[in-house]
Amino acid sequence: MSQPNGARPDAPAAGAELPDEVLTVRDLVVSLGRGRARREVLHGASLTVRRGRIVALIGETGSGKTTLARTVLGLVSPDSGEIRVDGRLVSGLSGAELRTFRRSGQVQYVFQDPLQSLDPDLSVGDSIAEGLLARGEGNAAARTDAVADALRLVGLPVELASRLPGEISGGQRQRVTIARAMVLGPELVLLDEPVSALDAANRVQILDLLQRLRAERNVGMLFISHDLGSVAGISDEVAVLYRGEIVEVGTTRQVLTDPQHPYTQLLVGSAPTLHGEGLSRSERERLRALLPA
Amino acid sequence: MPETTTLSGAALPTAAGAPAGHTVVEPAVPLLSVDHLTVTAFSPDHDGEVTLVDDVSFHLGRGETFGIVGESGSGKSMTCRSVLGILPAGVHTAPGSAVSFDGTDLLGLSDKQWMSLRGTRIAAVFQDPGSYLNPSMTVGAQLVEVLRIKGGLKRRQARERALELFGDIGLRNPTAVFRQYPFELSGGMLQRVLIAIAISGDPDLLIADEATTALDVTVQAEVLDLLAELQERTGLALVVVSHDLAVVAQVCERVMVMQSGVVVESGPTKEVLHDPQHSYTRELMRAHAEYGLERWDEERP
Repeated sequence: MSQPNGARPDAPAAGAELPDEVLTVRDLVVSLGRGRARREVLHGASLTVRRGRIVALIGETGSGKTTLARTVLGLVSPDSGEIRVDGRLVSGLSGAELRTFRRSGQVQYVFQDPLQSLDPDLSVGDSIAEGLLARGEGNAAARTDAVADALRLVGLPVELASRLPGEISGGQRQRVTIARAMVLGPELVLLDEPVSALDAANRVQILDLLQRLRAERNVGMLFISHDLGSVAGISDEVAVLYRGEIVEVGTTRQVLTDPQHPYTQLLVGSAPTLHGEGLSRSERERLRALLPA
Repeated sequence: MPETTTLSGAALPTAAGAPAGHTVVEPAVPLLSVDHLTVTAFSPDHDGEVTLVDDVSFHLGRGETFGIVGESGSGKSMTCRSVLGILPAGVHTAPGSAVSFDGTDLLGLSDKQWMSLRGTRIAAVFQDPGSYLNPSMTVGAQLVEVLRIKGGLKRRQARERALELFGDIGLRNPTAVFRQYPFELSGGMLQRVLIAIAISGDPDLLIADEATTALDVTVQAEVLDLLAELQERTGLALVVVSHDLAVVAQVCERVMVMQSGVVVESGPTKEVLHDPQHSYTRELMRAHAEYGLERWDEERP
């Protein structure tokens, strides 16, 4: 288990050996839809991300992974439960408070498709500077410097700042969205399937980059993915979401080598590996029968 | 059974570093023969033709499972599309390319001739099943349509056969699914429906091009099981195309690794995984060792 590079001096004393919690989600209940179509999609989910740690949130399509991330960002309001960022309650903030919280840049996010999350008409540099501008920070020269630093941080040439998202490669674009997140000095980065659209070489490079950033910048990351492979390599802990409930939480080693919940066993046993056989068909059917219909 | 012969490295595609090390398995009587396939496209950016597939050769016997691995842009899909006769407009096979299926030269077929081959003896399943179905027709009606047009069945027979096929592909309640529209079904169910349509003509060759890529891991395992089971039961030759070496490793006896339109390595899957010859294959395997479940292999149950 990797240790982060020292907690902040003002970190709470509680749990001296553990870094402080940058994200605490407790008993989160969220419903989506209107009227009769309204459905509860998270039924009391709880999880914790500590400073400098990467927690993977895994689960199948429709399990509520993205809804959880959107709720943390304040894009969806929960029915009940609480979300704390760096100890401060952020669920249930009023409109103005929410805007201030978002502009603070404490929580940043990176999505699957960088082409969709970057404004096609905005240069890479302007996209990265946008958050600084919204926060009313520095003058133009300071922002240009910050953009250059952010580009270097993610391993991109500074000259890329003047290019449009459509003019650079998919891997470079995803680096740009990471630079855009990092330029604001976040404490928590939510990554929703950040490498799912990338080919093998870019996937490894982006995962390496995320590992480096969490160590260098001591950022907590919630890494949402359906890809067990990426999770196996990057995360310290794994939370398994199944139909709106966190059914298992543990260190990556525990969850992947000794899964407890039938769904986790099914998930881990279904993933193809180069040499392993995984679970047999009958074993998978047995586990499936144990899951709620 | 395929007969095993060892060719000299010189007979393999001429990519830099093309390996001579693996056992070359050649079917005694090939069902599908792809020889020196080169596919080019007109590109205004490059001021002329660009090569998408460069001198690719492979042979496949009845009942074989064959995997093609590569990233987007490696030419694996264009190779399949050449075999299926569905290259996009502006993309074509170059002179000297040869593709033959059970003795028929596929590159010289007319559209009409393709109609009696594609969807019956040669079938395919692709990544996004939803986009291949008509959203305003029930899935049952779509399979019935295929059976009537391709199989020449009467309405009642086609309906019976459709329900039978839905049962064959592991749908628990074929009658209910028959009446459902695509939007009412999950991705895994849709892919099963597409597989039912693909096997409705009792094909000799089924090409699954990233057919499980968009599915959840647990559903992917089910669909791969289904393909393997169909292959065993019907004896069709199965080509699995994927960016994921592990998917191919699970299903295929032989594998061909492509990069930038060129075959960089090919051979029996076990040999290739045990002793990868090309740096690109090694790179793919390293990615699994570092960012893959393989990282925990030794401790896994």
